[in-house]
Amino acid sequence: MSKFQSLRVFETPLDDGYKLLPSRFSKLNDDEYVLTNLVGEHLILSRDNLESYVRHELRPSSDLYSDLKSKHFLMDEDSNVAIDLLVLKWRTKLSRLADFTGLHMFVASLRCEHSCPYCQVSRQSEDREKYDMSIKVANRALKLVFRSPSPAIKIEFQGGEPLLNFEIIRYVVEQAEELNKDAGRDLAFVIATNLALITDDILAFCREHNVLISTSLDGPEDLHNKNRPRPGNDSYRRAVDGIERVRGALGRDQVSALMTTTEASLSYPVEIIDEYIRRGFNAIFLRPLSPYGFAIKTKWYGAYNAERWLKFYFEGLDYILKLNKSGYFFVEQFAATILAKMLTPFEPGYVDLMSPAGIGIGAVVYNYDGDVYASDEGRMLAEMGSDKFRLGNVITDTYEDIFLSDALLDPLEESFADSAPMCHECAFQPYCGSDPVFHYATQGDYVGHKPTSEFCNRNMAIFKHLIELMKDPETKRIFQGWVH
Amino acid sequence: MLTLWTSHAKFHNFDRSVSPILRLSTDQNRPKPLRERELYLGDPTLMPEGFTGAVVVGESPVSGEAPTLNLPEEFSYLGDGDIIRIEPEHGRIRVIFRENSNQNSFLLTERCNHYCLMCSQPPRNVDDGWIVDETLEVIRMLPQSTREIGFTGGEPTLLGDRFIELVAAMKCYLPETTLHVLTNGRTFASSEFCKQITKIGHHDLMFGIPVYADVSTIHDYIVQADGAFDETIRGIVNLKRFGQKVELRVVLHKQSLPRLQGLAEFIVRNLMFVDHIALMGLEVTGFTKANMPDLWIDPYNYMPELADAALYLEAAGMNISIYNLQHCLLDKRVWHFSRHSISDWKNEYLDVCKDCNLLTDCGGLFSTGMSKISDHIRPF
Amino acid sequence: MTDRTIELRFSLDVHPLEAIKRAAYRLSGHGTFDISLDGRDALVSVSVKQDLEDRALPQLVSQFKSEVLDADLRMSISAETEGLRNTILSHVFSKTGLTNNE
Repeated sequence: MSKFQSLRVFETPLDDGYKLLPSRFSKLNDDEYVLTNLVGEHLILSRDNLESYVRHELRPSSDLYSDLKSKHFLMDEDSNVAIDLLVLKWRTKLSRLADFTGLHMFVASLRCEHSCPYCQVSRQSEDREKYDMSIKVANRALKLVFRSPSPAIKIEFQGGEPLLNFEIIRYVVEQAEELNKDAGRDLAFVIATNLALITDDILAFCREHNVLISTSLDGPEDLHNKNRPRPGNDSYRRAVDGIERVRGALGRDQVSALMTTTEASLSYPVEIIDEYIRRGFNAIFLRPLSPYGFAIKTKWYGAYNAERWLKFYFEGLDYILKLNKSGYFFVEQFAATILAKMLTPFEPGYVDLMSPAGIGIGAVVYNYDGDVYASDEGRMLAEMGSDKFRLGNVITDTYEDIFLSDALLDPLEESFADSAPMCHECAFQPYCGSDPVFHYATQGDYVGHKPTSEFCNRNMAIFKHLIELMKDPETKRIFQGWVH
Repeated sequence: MLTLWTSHAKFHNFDRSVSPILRLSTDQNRPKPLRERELYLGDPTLMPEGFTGAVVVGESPVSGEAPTLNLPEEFSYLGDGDIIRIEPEHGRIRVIFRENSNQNSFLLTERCNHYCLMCSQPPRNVDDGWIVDETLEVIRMLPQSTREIGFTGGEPTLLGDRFIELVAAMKCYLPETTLHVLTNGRTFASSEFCKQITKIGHHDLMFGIPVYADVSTIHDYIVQADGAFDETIRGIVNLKRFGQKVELRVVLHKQSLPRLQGLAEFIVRNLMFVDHIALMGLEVTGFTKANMPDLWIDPYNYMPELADAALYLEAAGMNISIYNLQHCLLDKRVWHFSRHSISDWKNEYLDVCKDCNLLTDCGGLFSTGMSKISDHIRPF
Repeated sequence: MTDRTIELRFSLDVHPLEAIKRAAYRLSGHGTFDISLDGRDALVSVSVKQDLEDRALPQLVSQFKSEVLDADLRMSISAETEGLRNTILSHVFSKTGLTNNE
């Protein structure tokens, strides 16, 4: 029946051409490039096709043209709803910024009975009471917390070992809940503890106030104990028993574990993951060692370079994918954070991968002595002698003094990725962050020199690896399942 | 397959004053005031006083003074609570509402601004505003227990204010009934129209909107309307902005299948806020028959593509269903998405299905589509 | 010129100076790039970094040339899409729903 028009009628005529939509590209491997659009959606193509795309030489009837149109890399006379959708998606990605500081870390005590060589905080022995947060400091800090406009507020207790000053934890939780009666936020509490000192009373309190526990589990027993020395050398036993105890008292999912990678860990990615499975966890965060605190003092950081850690990371990720393919759901959280930026328009809000940087905007630290730091790493830098990221003190400074200080605004502005050389045109910019603290610590300024930056090299290797992995549809589906 | 209308109804003693819309009743104790708008379904000699007339199904000598409607045997399914429209001058009746069916739909207009290659209800450009008035009347007669009503067409939103009126009537007269509207969504690109719909405050309203491709070229071709894709997407986004429920519907055929995975990924990237996605097998009726070479693929041949797309959408946390496809034509991993979607009046199974272990799970086939079915239907 | 240094000539009618600078920056972890002008040409002295071997030079040169081409392509995209990018950004921060006038 000729009352139906053919497909040709609906295709864009050749002479009308197409417009490029904002995009960036980077090399993926020897043969391929990856193109990313304004909101981080990606497409792999050859250099020749890339060139044809930029030079307006693509034919509208080709599959590549349709793919580029569908993924908002180009636009033609036929359709401009891409603009509406890009606006929606970009707005979604940016919407977290207006919420401002959501994560507020309270350093309850700098004291600790462990002596982990990689500790990013100076440890002090148990009898130094002056390293505990006081009620006065806590009160002032809480006032600042509720000045943040964020609808969701998470208060995380850190240390040292925060349980050594459980009284201040109790105080802050109860006070925060009181203040929240007017403020009406979605309030959450976490204690980051090694669990060696957990008691039934503490657990009862946590249950009553819905406090979550985050603990360290570096891997199987010998590895964990080697990394985390303690009088009696029983850190592992205490951690593992502690986890079960917390689960029994608060609930299976109320305790999470974090591992720290040391040189000793690097040969055992599978064993570490297996330990997490054994302990009933469905996720692991394979973290790199950061160049702060004791790590540098005891030369842990120099003990391995990015290459070795990447090998460890990729082996771990490979093993985790095998588990998923055989039907066992298990997530690698660093990858999941990046994948959320690759596959969804949502911003996970992970402080180290944000631009503008997550310092202050995403998280802030109130130290035991009232000093306010732009991030936990900023606090570590101070322990190493540089107070570059100290924003002020809760006793002497107002909210405006602290959050409008040059100490915060300068690094935010200068490190902004879209203004930085190389980052400006990097295809991976939507997935990455600006981390001014890392670059200041390792290279001497907020922006750093990206060609020699370990942050840049490591992240790029991971981005490319994830994109390569997603060429396999089953892997892509698994990854999508990690991020929805 | 049920026959829903006929032009061979025999009317005896019906005069012009009789209302064209009548409810059927088998209830001997039906309250007297209600009998004025109703026909007694059953033996006319047992008809209580006050009914407009009687309905008799099958061969039967008609006698007496009471108005009697004689219908062919095919209408033996009729029961208490069903609503029919009569046209005595033409010997026609149409069944508008069936009380014991879950899938009652009202066609609001035959006009449409699309001309889909596979349209099962080919549009006609006629002045059929009278349908709205009739539908309003029917809505007022429906029982409160009605679970769900569908609005279809044509393109129902072309009725503009009258469409708003119909949705409002559904809210007022049937406050416990779900309303499912099939529309191409383009009218909702107007915020003003969205505002009006939202103001009604309907308690359980969902819009089923087709999106056939991730690029305008192919979608516009399938619906035969330039600019359709853009407006439809804008309509979808707008509806969600106003807090309305939206379902995406994808009919699977030769034109929509090549980019099905692309569409799945497009939905996850851009429309992840929709409430439901329906992936639908092709009904071979209406325009489909005229466009078979461009449309027909044996579903057996697209099993992998459909499974990949469905599983991808599921991994992304979307709510999906597969409609109109049989279990023997679906990858096992997606059986749990398959629903009993075919309207009961046109739903049936083949002889070869009789011994199938999955007969009750499977949704069966279209009675209307018997001219062309898969070569691979087989029992488990 | 030595085994560790090569001099390259680029016509600025073909590639903008900015592209050459950006390519140099990108590879500044592997080598040093001294850029000077000679009429309508740019001269680039490419040297491998001290910690790399001599034989890294040819690969560095070919990488550099490839990066210049890429930088050029990026500048084309940037120039063409800047307007649209600003339009989209302005809509992102506005309070209205859709971008078309209704």
